[in-house]
Amino acid sequence: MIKTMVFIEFMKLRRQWLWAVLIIVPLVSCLLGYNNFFTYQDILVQIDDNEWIEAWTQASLFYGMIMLPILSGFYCSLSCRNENFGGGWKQMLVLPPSRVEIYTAKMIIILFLVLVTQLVLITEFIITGLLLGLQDSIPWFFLFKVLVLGFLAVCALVAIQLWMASQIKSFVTPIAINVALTLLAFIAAGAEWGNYYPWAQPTLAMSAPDEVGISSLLFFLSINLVIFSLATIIGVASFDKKDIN
Amino acid sequence: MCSNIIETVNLCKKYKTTYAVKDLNLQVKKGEIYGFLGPNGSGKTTSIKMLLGLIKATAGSVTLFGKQLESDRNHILKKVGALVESPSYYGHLTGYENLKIIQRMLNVSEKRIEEVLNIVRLTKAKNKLVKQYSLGMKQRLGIAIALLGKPELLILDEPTNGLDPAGIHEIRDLIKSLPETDGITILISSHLLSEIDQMATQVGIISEGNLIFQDSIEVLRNKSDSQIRVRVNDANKAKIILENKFDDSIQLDANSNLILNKTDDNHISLVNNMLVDSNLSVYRIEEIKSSLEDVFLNIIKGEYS
Ligand SMILES: Nc1ncnc2c1ncn2[C@@H]1O[C@H](COP(=O)(O)OP(=O)(O)O)[C@@H](O)[C@H]1O
Ligand SMILES: [Mg+2]
Repeated sequence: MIKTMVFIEFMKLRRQWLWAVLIIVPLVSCLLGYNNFFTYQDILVQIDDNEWIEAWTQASLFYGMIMLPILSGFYCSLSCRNENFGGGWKQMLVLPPSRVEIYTAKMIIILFLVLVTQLVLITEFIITGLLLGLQDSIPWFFLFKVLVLGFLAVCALVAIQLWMASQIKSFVTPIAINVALTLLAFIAAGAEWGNYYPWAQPTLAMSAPDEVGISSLLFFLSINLVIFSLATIIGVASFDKKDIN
Repeated sequence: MCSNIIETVNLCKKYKTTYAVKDLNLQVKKGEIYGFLGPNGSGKTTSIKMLLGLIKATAGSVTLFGKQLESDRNHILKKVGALVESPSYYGHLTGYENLKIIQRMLNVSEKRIEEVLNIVRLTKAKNKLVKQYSLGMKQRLGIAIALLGKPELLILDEPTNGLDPAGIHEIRDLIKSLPETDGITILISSHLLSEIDQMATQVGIISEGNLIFQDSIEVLRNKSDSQIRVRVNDANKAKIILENKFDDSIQLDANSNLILNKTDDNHISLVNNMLVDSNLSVYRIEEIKSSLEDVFLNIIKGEYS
């Protein structure tokens, strides 16, 4: 049943220009990053530094700290907006699948979109870098690691964002709250408590080794998992109880 | 063992301090077309949402097909088709894609999509985006969705709301054609009795959250009382003569007809003789029955007073 429900969520994403968002948002992050990189190349690249990694510190700054948290929130809001707008909730919820299944399917499709976004980002990062003439060897393992870690880190955030989007009928309100909390990540990322702050976690997880990043990976991922589990349980439980008006 | 398809016991929904629905005891038998009537805001949608588990009841219980919804949700809802309030749809998808989504959720054959499209006559428009549909088409799509799973119980909440007379007629014909085909049970709500008059077999009337009438439509019809209308050449003179004689006030309608509340044969014959003896010309004497709509309104008014 879950497979069917995920397929259905996929169908609902048609004709929403999602592919454009998926291509453009990571690309903009890359371009802004490379722009910074070439402007401050002298300061950023020191002897023994790999230019790709230095360029990544700039790209991930825009992507991890701003674009990704806003984008994952947008995916959640879009997915729920499709239901709120035409009364989809009240149709779906009088059919056999349970509310838990419906919620889970939405979670899966959103996490899938985030994963695709990560893949697009890395691909675009490499292609733009090559086109801009970066010479050093591509740090494949490093890029793979930030892709996976970034994805794991954003899971907790998605759990919170889906909970919000499923409870608030308006499309804009959760997005606005999300943007405000994203801005707070600028402060959080530099502080120790940033490790616990879901909006700062993606950028921390995706940062290069020589930046202030995660203090202990295991600890970081455990915190992340706890937040993910709590937000999912609360999200499912409150959705299950919700009156559909 | 009762054969009620829908049964609620003291079902209540309270919002803040007021009850939207209070102690509702609905009983809908198998094969019935149950007209659920009440003015706007009387609690029809709230009741229907509780039947389907869209909102939680403050108190009371709902039994569908003899089972509690929570205990056997999957099994019960597979047999129910519902259109709650305004139709639900994904505007950025086509009519066909909308049905496809529901078909997958119900796990019925894909052929069924063409069948229901045909029933609601949307076959030609199936590849159009639903946001381009007219209200009537959206409403028909909603009915198609409700019919997709070949339901044994069909719940339609004001399916004709907001439609023009032609659209209302069309939906009504559509619904009337259903029960003969598969012997399904239908609950249909409306704020106008006239809309369900010709199809309902059973009627429940809700007012301010209370069910104030529940019985067959014949019982409702029998409640309509009759009056006698008399047309004469000089109504005012006739009125004075009759009022003096019977010591009873007599009304005139807008067309200067006399309206008599006592309708037994002897009384009418007496009245006729008096008028003729007074040299008045009696053109016609006819019985007028108050319409079912009037009965409906009177029942609701009685509740208000
Ligand atoms: N979510 C809600 N919060 C507060 N009051 C509500 C809510 N939904 C419905 N009501 C109230 O409950 C009453 C019944 O509404 P409803 O069931 O929609 O009536 P109907 O469908 O018969 O027009 C109305 O007075 C309405 O204002
Ligand atoms: Mg209503």
